[in-house]
Amino acid sequence: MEIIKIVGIAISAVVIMIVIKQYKPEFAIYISLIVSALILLSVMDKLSGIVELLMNLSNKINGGEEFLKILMKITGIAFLTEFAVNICKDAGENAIGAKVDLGGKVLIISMSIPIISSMLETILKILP
Amino acid sequence: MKKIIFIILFLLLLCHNNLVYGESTNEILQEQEETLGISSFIKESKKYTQESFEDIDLDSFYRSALTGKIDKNGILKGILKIAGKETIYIIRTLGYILVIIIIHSIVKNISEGLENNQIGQITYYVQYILIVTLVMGNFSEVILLIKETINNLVGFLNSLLPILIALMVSTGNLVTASTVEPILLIAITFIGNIISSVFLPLILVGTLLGIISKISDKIQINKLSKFFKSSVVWTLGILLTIFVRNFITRRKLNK
Repeated sequence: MEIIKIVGIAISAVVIMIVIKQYKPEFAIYISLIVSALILLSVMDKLSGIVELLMNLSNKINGGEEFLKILMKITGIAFLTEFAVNICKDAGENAIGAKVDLGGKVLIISMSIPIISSMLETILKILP
Repeated sequence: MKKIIFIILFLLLLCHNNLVYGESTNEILQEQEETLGISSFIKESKKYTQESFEDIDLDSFYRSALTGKIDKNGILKGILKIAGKETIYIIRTLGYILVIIIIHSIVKNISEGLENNQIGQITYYVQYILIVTLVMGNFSEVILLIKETINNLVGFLNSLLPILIALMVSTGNLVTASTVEPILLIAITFIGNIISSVFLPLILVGTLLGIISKISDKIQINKLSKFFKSSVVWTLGILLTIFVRNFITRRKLNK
């Protein structure tokens, strides 16, 4: 019944925002921020279940855990970046949103360096 | 008088015959074993069979084979053991690959909705690297196995050939023995060397190119790796054809 909670929060927030925008448009952005944070937090514990499942699966492969950890971190960074970028866009600050996006991309690339280097190592190891 | 001498001679002949029958089959076997050098061959070949045929003692196996009793079960068990080991290893690798693909599909499902499509790329990389690492482990095992097999084959033939030559000489094929030995030895060592020093590196490079070409869709060097592989197969076929042809013509000529 999580989805009813989310839908309820969202619809009530939209109604409040429509009402508030007529009097104080600058407060609307706060409401949208709070609502997005609420929705994110309400689905967080579901995400942890998925992560646990993935970790359990990766325990079956030897040497797969560290890769999967990196993968999880990258996915988390992507989620948070997307979240922040969307909020920035809602507030009308597209420039800052683009910067956050850039930062997220740089972080993702820097985190994926071990993966790329291990791939190179694998390739070089095969060479006679 | 003549008749008496003839009868005495006949009796002597009979006695002599009886004396000859005194030698037992075991002694004859022993003698032939020593002249043909079979015991040293068995000692030599023990080191090739010890790994997979633990419960078969070659010496006793040879003794029982001489009297017509062959332990089929032991050989079958050994062959099954070798085949089973490889199969189990391959099935385990397949299971690992399945797990990796499941993980990949879950992560891809999570990250597909995002605007940042770099995540999908990185996920693909990670999954690809994991699968490549696993398969490469298997592959390098196979390559090691090939190298070991070639070395064993050459060594085994080197220890087997003197016996074959001795057998040929003892059955009267002197000419064959004197010509076949150098040709066979050269051909076997040549093919073994060329496989381990030319073909195996070529196969490795071909595999490498195949791996690299799958990383990105834009860089395609798949054809090159295919070319390497097919050239290896063709040259091997040509070499083996020449080998067999040489061998057959020599045999025909020597007859």
